[in-house]
Amino acid sequence: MSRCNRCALQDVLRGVSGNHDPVRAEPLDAAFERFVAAAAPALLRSAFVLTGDHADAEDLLQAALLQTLRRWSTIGSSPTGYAFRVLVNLSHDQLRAQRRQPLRASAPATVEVSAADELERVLERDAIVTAVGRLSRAQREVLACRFVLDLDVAQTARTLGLPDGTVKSHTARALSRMRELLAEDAITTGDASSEVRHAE
Amino acid sequence: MLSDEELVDGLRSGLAPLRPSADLIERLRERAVADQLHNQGSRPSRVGSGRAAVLRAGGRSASIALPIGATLAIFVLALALLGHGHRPAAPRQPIPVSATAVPPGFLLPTGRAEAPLAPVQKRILGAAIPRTAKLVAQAADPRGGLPWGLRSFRTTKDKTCLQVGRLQSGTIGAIGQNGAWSNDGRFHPFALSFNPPGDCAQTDRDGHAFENIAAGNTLANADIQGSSCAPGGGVPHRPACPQSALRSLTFGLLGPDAVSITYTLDGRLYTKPTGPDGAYLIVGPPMSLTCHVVDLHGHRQTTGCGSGGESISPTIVSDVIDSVTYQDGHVCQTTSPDPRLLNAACPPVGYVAPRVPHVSAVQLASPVTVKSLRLERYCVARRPGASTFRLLCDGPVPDGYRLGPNNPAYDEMLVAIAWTARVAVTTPNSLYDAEIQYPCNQGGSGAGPIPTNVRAGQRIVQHAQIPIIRCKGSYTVSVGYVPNVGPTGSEQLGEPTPGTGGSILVGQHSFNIR
Repeated sequence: MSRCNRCALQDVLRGVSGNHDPVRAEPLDAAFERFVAAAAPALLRSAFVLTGDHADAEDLLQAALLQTLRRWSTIGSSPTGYAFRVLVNLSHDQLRAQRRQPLRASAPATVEVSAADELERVLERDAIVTAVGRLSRAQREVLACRFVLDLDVAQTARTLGLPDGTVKSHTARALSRMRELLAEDAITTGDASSEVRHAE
Repeated sequence: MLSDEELVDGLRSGLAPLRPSADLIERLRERAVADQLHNQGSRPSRVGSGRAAVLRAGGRSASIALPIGATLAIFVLALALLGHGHRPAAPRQPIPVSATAVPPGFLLPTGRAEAPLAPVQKRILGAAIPRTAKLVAQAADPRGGLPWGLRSFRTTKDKTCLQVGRLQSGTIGAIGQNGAWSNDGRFHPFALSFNPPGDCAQTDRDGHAFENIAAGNTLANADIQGSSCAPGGGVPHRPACPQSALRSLTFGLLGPDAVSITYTLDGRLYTKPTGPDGAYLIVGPPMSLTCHVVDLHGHRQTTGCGSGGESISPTIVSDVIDSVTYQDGHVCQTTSPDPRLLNAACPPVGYVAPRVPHVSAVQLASPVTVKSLRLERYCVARRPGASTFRLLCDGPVPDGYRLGPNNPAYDEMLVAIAWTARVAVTTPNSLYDAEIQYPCNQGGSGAGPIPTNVRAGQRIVQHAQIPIIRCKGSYTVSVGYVPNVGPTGSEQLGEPTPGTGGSILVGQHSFNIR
């Protein structure tokens, strides 16, 4: 192989590997990106449970991840729990800022509102998600931990700084309250119909 | 009354569609650097028990107090992003396409696998059957580098799916460049369950599939998800991909009887043997114009032309392919200007239709009802002033958009179409479908086929978004039953109008809008 060819090959390999920058701390950067890739979907859903709005949830997630990045090297073995804790704290700030605004109750982007689903099922799911938005803040935080992040009672208790028993009681009361809300607001496809006048 | 488990399941599935936007990492990088630059001009603030550190970037210095690890993290991240030239915050520069032109024998480092199918796709297409996966064709890239490969596999729903990508060590995948995978330059193998939608065809009674796909402008890195540029342009906030980063791909399965394919590329004529099931793969430079062509039971129909289109058909739709030779010596010439002649000359040779029970219109007949629902969600561009500021998006939120607040008033509406399935659907070979004809000759649209099995007597509610056309005339909704979807499977293609061709009319309903 000629020198020129070898140079070209080295250039190619440097370009391909992307590791030619001696300053970039690849392991740290990559670890955080891996964490984001793995945890962001569940954290976004948790943020939605906390805020009830997709756009707010996205903004909250981004802010929480930035804070997590700033503390990345000091976070222990549970970065997801840490990021969720940040989410909760930020959502408290957000709620305080929005205290006088009317409560929004938008549903998430139900991409599965399509041929693949029966409308009733979609509406039922939307109703459940909407019902979560009407729970107390503490109940929503517990539900997000338990059923969106899939943390067990002890992990949820540690993350939220609550006793185990409080986590259990919040969970039970939240589910019970959701059942009440769903019974009050039983949604059927017919209720929403108003704009079409049949030709016949 | 829902049980706890049902409530939790409902909550999880209700939240499942929420996914972080594709550019989350990119935005975090931008924000991290922006925060860093902002902090340089701010008063020192003590956070936690860290100690003060001095950062220097862009020729200015500032004191801030951070834990030493966090300081280091921000510092190295800022340096990595800013580079040595103190450029403004921006994603890492794409590796030039030529960087993938590694000498023969060299392999790219392997990265993370591409994400698997979304659940909704999996439900429609079925789960991949790993033992059926095989590499059926390969082709060199016109600019060198890793060759391309075509892999086929069967699914639990009797589909035969195709995956196309760059080929390394016998597997196919994408290369991290053009914004994908943070431009890491690595080879990211495709999981077997990863498949772009629409590249699956219904398998025939003898286990063969017939499918021809022509994609005019595909990214050279074979990544269809994470690119920072738009292959055909016209996407808000995403630059058009450079021509050097694009390829045209023509690939498919011609059936077991095909033996060779002849095509023209860059003015040269090639004849190559086909692979298993008549598999072929042709990779060329990008095409300037590609038309969307659908095949509706023998009638090819151009539904639009663009620079980045993809066409899928049981018959050949590519301008690149000149002819196909079959084992009995028959040669089909694809150069006929008349689509009907072309279809007659090049039908899916060897296709064996499934056995389907005879069903009459009387057996199927059912009243059809239509109700409207307020369309409550739409997407707004993240940056006002974009070419399309608002989009309807009861579906996924597109890149560059975010979900807007509720808005009951919009110039489209969501309708729920309901009927009773008198005849069961027990295989993917049959389906129910609905189509809406708009008033005043304004065209129409399909509501999409029902992709799941259906019980006899089951009430079906199908919904569709339709434009509100204010004129004197009626919308007509037609529901049809297709006993045999034919060789395409037609997940992404238009079905024949209910009551015509291969479809049997179930019922109709007309309505006006006030």
